[in-house]
Amino acid sequence: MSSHLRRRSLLKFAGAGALATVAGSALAGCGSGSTGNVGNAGKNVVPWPTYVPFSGPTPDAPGDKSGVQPLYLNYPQNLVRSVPEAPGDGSDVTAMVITYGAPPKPLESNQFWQAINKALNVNLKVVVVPDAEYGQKMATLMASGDDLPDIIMFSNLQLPRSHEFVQSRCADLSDFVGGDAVKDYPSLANIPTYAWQGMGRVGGRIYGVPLERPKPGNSLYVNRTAFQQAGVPREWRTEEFVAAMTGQSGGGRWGIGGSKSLFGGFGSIAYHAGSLGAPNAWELRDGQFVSTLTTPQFEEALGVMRRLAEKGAYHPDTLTLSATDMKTFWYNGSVLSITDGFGAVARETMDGINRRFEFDLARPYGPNATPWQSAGIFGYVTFKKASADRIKLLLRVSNYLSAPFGTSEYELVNYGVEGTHFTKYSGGIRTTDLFKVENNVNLPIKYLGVAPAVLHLPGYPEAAKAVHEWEKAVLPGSVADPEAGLRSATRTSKGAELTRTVGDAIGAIVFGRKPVSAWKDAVTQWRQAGGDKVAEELAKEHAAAK
Amino acid sequence: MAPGALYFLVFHYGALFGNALAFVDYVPFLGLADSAWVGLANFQQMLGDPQFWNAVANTIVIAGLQLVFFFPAPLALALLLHSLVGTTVKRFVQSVVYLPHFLSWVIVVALFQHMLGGAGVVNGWMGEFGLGAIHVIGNPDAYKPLVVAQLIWKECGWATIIFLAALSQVDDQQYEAAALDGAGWWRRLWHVTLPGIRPVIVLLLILRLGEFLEVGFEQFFLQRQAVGPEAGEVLDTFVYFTGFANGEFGYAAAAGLFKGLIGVALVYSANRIAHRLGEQGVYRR
Repeated sequence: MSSHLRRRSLLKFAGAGALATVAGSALAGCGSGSTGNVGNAGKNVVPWPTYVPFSGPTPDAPGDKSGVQPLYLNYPQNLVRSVPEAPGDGSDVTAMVITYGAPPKPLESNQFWQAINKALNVNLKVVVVPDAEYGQKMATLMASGDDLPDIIMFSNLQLPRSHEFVQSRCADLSDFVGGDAVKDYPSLANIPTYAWQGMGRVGGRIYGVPLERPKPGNSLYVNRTAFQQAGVPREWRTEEFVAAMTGQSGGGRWGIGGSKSLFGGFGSIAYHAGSLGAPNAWELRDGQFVSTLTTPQFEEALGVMRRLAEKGAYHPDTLTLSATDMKTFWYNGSVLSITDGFGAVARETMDGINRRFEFDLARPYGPNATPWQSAGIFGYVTFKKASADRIKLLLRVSNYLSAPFGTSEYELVNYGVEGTHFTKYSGGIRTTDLFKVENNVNLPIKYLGVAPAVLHLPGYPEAAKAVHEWEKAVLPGSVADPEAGLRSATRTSKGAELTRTVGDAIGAIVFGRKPVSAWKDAVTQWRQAGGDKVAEELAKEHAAAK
Repeated sequence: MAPGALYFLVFHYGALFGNALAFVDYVPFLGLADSAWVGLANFQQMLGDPQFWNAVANTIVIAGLQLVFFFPAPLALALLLHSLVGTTVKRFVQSVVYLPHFLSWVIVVALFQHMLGGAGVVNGWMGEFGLGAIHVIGNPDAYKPLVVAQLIWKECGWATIIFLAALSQVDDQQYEAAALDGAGWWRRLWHVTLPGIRPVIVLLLILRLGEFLEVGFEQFFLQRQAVGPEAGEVLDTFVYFTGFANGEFGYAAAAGLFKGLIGVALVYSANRIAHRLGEQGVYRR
């Protein structure tokens, strides 16, 4: 056979293969629904799940409607069992989930994982995705064929077309959890309505179970000891704040630190904008959505941040460091304050600080502060389309993992097995060394289902009290994002880009790469790239939701 | 030859059909067939997009700097290594200069940050001696030289391999003859060594030109945010952000296709020039 002929036949073969590829994707394309239908306006909307609060142990200080959480200084003595029988049937359950920790130890040697599997009576298989790669991994997953895991977890990260994906590829849960149906899953019924609303409906239907988060949003966490030693008051005004931050900087110490991901969007500016009275993402004016970016308060906040950077109060490597690195600097006292989500109010933070200093949150510094509330959720989980029985099983798993504070299920999911991962003493729980490697962060089941958060920091009652005081002082004046739960087609397709444009511009102006005057251009760019359209669509949705 | 053919079939010829994405408004979970056909709209959008042209400009400047500074560096290093006499010393130096190639970009970038960052080692010293801080990391003006310096540090040693192989092919008798005629080191380099390895240099140059716009991805992806897209966006990160982060797969495919076509044009013309100059180029005529 001559080489010429061989090359020919090869080309033919290649053509056939390519045809097969095209035909394959054409077939896969058949039957999937249309897109651009995620809005709820003009749809027959399913009712929100009925809220049936769990009557748990009596708190040391009560929560309230403004979002202040019930405070538990001590761990409850008597636990309730909330799930009478194991939810599963021994089958495999696969889950794709974000992680902020090290990968879990393998199942064979992981007693926590084994205990969870036994309690759920499933063989839980997790695909853990480090948070930094999460967006990329999700894009790949959404682009893939039918190879979906049973449980897919969505974080608050803007993912292009995620709602279309959910609508066309995930199970519709409306008939299982809408209205009173949710009562079959008591822990899910205990999830407050604002969390369901924060997740929102897609095309009028419910497709997920929210991962509840308390109302406080991105906040500024401070090293209270250092500021107190310098005579900085707890209640401060803008000038006092700037003076405190710059006064404490120098000699390998910085007043404030941020991280790369915070400058990917609004994260870095939330505390400042809220302090100075800028609306939370949008302001509803006569039914119109006015972006916070266009307000003078927002620009003022940008100016404050820029002054901090100019005066050397910002850690100089803020734009290149990861959140984890910056936290380490905060723990060891070389950075005196950091911006972080409210999830930082957790035992891991207290362990990281290790009583080197007093943990506290910064009060907003402006006279007419409008602290920004969170979306009420960390994200939500959706399930792969399956038979009704399978969906019910997955909901029971979700129900178990969402068991409220004060139940034995909560204890297992959050602390592991008594005697192995923790021991009890009067009023508290002490975790063992094994817990450091076997826990619900490394095996990230806390992102598959989670109880509504209460304020309880085992072993750190003084920190819990400080947070409770802060919540009482700050939350009554806080504002919600009016966009929460509303759908905009432009938002789902362009949201990621829009958010990044804003994050890039904030970073450039704060760190002096661009003058403050460049902000106007950035806003114009944002409006033209789709911001105005999002506002328009949201206004329509809002009117329909009334 | 079957595995080789299969490789080309699947990863090259098969993948070529992915370029069809450039002509549709691709929605991943709908598939290629159900996505709306938009013809050349993606290309029109691209030609009128200042962000795209910004990425092109950055890519060309960085590629130019790489060509001028990175391309000759391994050649110089190879000549230096070649002139070393002791085999043990040579082996040792070679191992040392190869090592950085095996470090991932994440490590290299972190290393540079720890050395040159605002809170890095160098600025720590500067502070101790009462000198002002030098602003390298996160400084858009220093960004392009920085990325080229990083590339030289990481890849220079590894890139010497082919040059060293070529150098070992140069006939020793020519050196001896030249030395007998009284030629010094420089003259031997100019008249014997360089002409001896010229085909290899030209070949590598043409191949490099074909990848002219492929300045790299990870290195730029990791450092883009610190300097902003104006200074830090290159074509590869542009494709990533429009495609994966924004979900505009069709548009991203169009930009990728643009890059590929430029590459083909560059290889073709460089090869033509090489043939004109009497060189072999990538293939013998």
